[in-house]
Amino acid sequence: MAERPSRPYLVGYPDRLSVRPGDDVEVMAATDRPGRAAASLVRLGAGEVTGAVRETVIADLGDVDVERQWTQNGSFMVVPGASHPWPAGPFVAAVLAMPTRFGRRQVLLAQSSTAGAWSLHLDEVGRPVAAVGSVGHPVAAVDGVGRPVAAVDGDGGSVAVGDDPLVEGAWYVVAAGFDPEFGVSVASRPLAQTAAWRTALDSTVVGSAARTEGPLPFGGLLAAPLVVAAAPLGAADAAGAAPADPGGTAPAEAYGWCYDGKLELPQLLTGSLDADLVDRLAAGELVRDRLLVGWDFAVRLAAAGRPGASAGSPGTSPAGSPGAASAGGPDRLAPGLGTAGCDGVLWNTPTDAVTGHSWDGAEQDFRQVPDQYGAIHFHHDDLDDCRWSPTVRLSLAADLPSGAYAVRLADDRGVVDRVPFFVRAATPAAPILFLVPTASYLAYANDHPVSDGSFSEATAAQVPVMYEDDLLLHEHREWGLSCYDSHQDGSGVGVSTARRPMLNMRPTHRYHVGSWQLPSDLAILNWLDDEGIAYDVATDEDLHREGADLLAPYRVLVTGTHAEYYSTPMLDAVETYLDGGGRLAYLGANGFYWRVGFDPDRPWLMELRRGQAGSRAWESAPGETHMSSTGERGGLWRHLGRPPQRLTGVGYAAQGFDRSGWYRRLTDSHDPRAAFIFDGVTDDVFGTTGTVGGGAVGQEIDRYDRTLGTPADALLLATSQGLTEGYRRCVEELLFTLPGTSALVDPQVRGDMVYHVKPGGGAVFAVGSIAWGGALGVDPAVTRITRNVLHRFSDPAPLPW
Amino acid sequence: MGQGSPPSRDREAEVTAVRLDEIRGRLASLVTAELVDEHRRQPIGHHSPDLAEVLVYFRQAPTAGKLAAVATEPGRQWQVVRLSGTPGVPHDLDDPARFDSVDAVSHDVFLRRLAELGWPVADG
Repeated sequence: MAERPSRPYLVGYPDRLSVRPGDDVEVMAATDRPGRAAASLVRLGAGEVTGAVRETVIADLGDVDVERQWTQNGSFMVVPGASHPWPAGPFVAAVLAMPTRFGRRQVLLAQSSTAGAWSLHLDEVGRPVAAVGSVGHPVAAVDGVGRPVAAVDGDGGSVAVGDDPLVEGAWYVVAAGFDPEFGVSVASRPLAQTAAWRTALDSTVVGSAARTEGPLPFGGLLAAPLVVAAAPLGAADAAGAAPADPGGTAPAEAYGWCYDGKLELPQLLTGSLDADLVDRLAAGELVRDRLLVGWDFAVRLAAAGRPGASAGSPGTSPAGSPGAASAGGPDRLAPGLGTAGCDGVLWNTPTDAVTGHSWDGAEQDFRQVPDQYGAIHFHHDDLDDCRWSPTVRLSLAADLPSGAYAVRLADDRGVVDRVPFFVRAATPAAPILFLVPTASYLAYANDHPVSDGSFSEATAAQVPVMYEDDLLLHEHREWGLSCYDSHQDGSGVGVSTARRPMLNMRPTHRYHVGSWQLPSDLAILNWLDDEGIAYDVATDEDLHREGADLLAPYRVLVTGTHAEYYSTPMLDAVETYLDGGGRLAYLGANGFYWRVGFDPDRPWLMELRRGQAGSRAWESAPGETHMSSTGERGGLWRHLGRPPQRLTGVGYAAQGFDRSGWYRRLTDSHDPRAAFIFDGVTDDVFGTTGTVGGGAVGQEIDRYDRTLGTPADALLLATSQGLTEGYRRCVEELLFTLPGTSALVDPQVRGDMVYHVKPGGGAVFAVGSIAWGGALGVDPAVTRITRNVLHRFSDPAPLPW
Repeated sequence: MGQGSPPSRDREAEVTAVRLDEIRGRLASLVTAELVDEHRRQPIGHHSPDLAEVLVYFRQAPTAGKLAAVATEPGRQWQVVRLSGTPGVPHDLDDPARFDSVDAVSHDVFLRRLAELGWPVADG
């Protein structure tokens, strides 16, 4: 058990990242020390690492009360409808399970009421246990030499412990029998292995069974909610069940003992647990002749209306899908079979569209063989919404100019948080739209690059520097993980929520390699303000929802420094905009790189399946590359047929984070069509200064590449020089483990500046470097070129080509 | 397998130890006073092939017990931290030494890593 964290904090999140003038906004905040905090609405600028922030107070919101707030972590399923009276008599709780990480008690199925409690769970070493008593109370008993024994605890409960631990990564049937007259029993047996199992079992794994004698304190299934993959908190012994510091007191409905692993076909059956029944369960059968209630997650996958998931009718959403009318949308429900009213409510978005016990590896798309995708992968560290109570409510003025804003909270200890959100224009008026790359912010949200990432120092090519935010995030895992983290069971984090404090989406935040994302993007906005260049802002979420209509009123689209994550509707919108004459100033790099999806019912949730290629913090398990939210295959856009070079002229080439380089002008920079770009720039070498690594080409860099779609008539204006061996070629281009992948020896490790005009009059100016924004207002040539491009792109006169 | 057969186990630890002995033995021979001084002069940026190789080894160490830097006063002062390697378990921040630059704390981490392996640490 971790030491109780003691770092002071005051953190919050808005109810949504994109708002309009006149909207009401709520901010949910939490602190380790309840009390008053001064609140204000500020227009947000970039921050310094020292804590100084360029901001303008728009409104004093007075003092507010900030409380500790409980965060429910872990994904699980609750069946409220199991609260009705069930027939008395013996019953069996059974499920197919592929556990992924032992070390804690983890509950598979449980019920708890004032009449008693039962659970089927795995103990700390992975042995199956059937227990009766209070849910927190039954403890797997171990004899003096560590052998499991059946035991009756002091509370009148019964415990049956299987002899053999399960093996992580293998599929089992795990079942418990509860007989009011004769006692409890437990059995486990490995399932028949398919060719595609993750873990090969040797012949010593045969399963186990145990039983204990004696009547139970209740007469059958309880009239209480059933919980799958967790158990209700509030029982006698809650220690070890909850996060180290969940923040505040658990509410009446709270859950712990969450499970790490896959579950399939949970079911409650009448009668006793015997060998015949174990045979049928091990065959993957829903035992209909004894069924009280069960859940087939493959049925749920189809019913959730995902493209093509409905058998025989790809692309359609089945009418009357079971959860369509309920709060939160259909994705949160698993229809109960056998007894009406027993739909399961899924908490914290466990991962579905994952391979089940019968997946044989022949098909990679869950939509084609939904029966082989009947599993859900639960994680004890899943989070889809902090569900905190509102701390601040404010109404935005109807004439509030578009831009980046924050609710600033400060307590009397000097602990400060700025909770950012982005205000769109009431009516598009500026020629320029700055698209805030919130999908990419979500992907990185609450990343633990140093605390967890053994690769961080190697990719950074320097000793990583951590800040207070990193220490807080390390200790407060309840605030959720990023898509650069892995769950503790080793599986990648493929869902990110905006409904939680995102400590690295702050103006003063610094990544271990320097300024990154929001503060870098705010530096561009600051510079636009300083130049008197009018702009509106919108977010990726807006673009995903509204498509090209969002962009149509604007002459120029400006990306942030690192717009890496794009959904299909977002990419379609940018293409449509450029084909229709729109102009893109791509002032960053490694953009348009990964495909993501957004939950259609809960737009604050983003989904990512990385696949098995690309510069990736983790990779998808075999057979799990298709996104649950859309059915689409995930991965790099270049591997999906839409490389960024075709869209922008450049695409991801390399990364490094130690020292930035500079640009050298090339022949095309003297082409008359590019004269407006270099107007007032006389030096052949420029971009030698900047706040990111000391130059204008750095962090991640993009390259001109005809073979990947750079248009034949694109002008290659300049390329990088001065990069170190810390800059390495992107892995998706290394077909063998070749030596010589650094900037010192690989000519493809470079950042390129490219300009081209499309057939419909649209145009793209791309700088090929994340560090560019850090040189604005610092490096005279970078500043001049950016001003020239935005000025000319804002002019509706056709661009000569 | 019948009764009395050895329990299942993971042989990864043994083979990793054998490989690390070989790798460290070769890298140790690269560490000279000149190499340490090269790092002191420029901890971040371009390095000679020998220093680059030693650094690659250090940088790829597993997280548990790994050294990193923490900004105690962002932009002004730094210290060395030892990572817990376990989510939620606080890192060890007890080290009293403070440094006035990222270069200085980075070089201190380098010296500590050399010392922990028993390699020459003469800091030119």
